[in-house]
Amino acid sequence: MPKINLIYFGSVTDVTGCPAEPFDAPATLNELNELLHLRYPALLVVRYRLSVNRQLTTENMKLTEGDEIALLPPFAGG
Amino acid sequence: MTTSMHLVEGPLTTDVVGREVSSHQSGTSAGAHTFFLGQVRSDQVEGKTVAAIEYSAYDGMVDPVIQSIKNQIFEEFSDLISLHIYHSTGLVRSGEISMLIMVSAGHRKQSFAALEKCVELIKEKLPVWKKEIFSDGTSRWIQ
Repeated sequence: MPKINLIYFGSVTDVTGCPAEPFDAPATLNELNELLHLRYPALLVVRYRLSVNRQLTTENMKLTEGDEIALLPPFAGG
Repeated sequence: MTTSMHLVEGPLTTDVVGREVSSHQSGTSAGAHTFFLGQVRSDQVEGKTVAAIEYSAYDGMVDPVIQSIKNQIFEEFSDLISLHIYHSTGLVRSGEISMLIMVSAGHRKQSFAALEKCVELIKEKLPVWKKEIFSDGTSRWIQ
């Protein structure tokens, strides 16, 4: 099973309790999101978007070894 | 086209402003330098006072996003000569500066317009988060 890296930001870190962690990747991004909801049920009420290798995405895609997936709450720069 | 991107640990100091202005003294094509300085406000929230903001950023994503913002701005404003952006990470106390944008253009109109557009794009697209730290030690994420 390929290993991916998960990175968490903002309010998501309050749910995960850590800023990053390695993860055994399922086949697709959608499956990963479902697994994350099982692991961290509180994520269901947190607004966030996903990025794959530093690109925001709203589409499902296949995951591969070494992918960097980030959970990004709404931005608040400035 | 001169562009640069910096994330700075802690508050931005006025040294940065002076340095940026000095670095442009040798160039003579610009007729207007316009700055935006973002300052941490001491907001009152439910009876509590904001003492500081703690910023965090997705470092690896900041540079490509900034580059894409710069590309968009340069495409839209043909009079633009340079665009510099600095944003704080970590703790910035109220009254301190957390963001600096400097736009240089041939003339003032595009300099003002490009600056405003740049601030809006940064707020919309830059992967930065902030947590308000209140004077009583409690905190909350800004969404």
